[in-house]
Amino acid sequence: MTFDPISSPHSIERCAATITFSENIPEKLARTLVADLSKALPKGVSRAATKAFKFDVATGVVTTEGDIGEIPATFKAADGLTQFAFAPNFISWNTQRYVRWKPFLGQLDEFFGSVLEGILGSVSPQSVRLEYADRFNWAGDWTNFDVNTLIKANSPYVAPRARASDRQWHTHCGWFEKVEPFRRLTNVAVEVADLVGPLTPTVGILTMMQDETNVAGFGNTSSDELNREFIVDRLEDLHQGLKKLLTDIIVPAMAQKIGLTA
Amino acid sequence: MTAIANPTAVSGVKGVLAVTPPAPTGAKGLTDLSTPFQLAALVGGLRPTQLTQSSAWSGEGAQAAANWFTSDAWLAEMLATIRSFRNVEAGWDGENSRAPAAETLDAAEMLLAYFRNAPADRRPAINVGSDGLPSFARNLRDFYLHLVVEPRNHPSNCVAHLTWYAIKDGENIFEESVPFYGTSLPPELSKLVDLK
Repeated sequence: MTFDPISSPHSIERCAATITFSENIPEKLARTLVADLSKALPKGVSRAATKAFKFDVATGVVTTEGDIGEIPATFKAADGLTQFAFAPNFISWNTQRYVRWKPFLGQLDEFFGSVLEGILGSVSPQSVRLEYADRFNWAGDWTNFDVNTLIKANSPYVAPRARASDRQWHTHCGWFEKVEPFRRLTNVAVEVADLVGPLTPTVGILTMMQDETNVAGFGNTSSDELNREFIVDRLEDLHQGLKKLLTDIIVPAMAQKIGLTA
Repeated sequence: MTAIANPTAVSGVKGVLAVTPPAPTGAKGLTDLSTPFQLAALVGGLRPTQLTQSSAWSGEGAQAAANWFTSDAWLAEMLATIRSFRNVEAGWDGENSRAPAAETLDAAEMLLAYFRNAPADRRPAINVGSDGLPSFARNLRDFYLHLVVEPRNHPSNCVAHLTWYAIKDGENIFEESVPFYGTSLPPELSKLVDLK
């Protein structure tokens, strides 16, 4: 019995990139950028309808509004499997249709590029985050389930007690470290669960890295350097870091199977 | 050139609380996870594979959004075709065929990431010719495309070169060795498959 990665060329179930800003984007600017973005959406992408109500702090009166077209704004691809979110202090790109890194990065830049230029004229990125959810389904059942054919023995990312469980288990860990002048947060979550339907074992591995700028004790980056190229450069670095991290978690044979060692 | 074608969270904004209608969020049931993971789910608003309630990750047992590899049969089939050609050796067709290079197969996968967004009648099918080069083809009454993925010319920083012949709206179109960088489709190709 073996594990099968969830898709043909890789095991990525979901991938998300998030850029958080040091402060809220000025409201007027944000509305303008969202309005401009809404007018020039790529084919198949639409804005998710937003229902809202307004609460007047002074009077306590609550009124409802229709589609206000304000932030936070969410845009979705036609199949709903890719989302783009624009909030007062972050933007994010999230897809369950990941194929390869370069198109993912390119489409992110294509969609958010002009928006980013507008935002970065006003606020600076505080953190850049990239995360992957990988999934591997066991071809057998619980009677012959063997997580050791997927997760490396004595992996430092998996708590021994959790791993010793016969059935479902999960384990999380996270740490900070200095990477260049940034504080990098890394999180790993491994979960063994049941797939609905056949109730067969499945293993999810969530890996996340986040680079934070200008954190005391870690280094400084001038606001001039915190531009669009900086964000792309960080995402590239996080992507490489996460590839290595997953390679350190799973057995070499699976790493090769999903193209991590190619 | 190949000889084979296969024609076939909501933030308050000064007193305004905006509520997005129930996107398939996986936030519920994620309370066992650390803050970054909960935030990730809130931001993402997407639920991964359907799991049982035993799952601390996303398990509420409710219907999950379909994954692309089940919802997009075309993409799954094309990716499977590419995968079937990975690591094959020369002579794979029983004759004198060349082994496809990994970098051209990688580039073909990147092209799929763009072609999947094209209208269904513009999505080409992939094949690999006896020369080892991946190619895409589509043959309809009003549209024909035959595109070959060729290795990049070193030291170019593109991922591959693309050559295609097409007939669209009665017009013959031929482009040769157009660099493909992976981060965007060449504009003329994007227009050809009705992506722009």
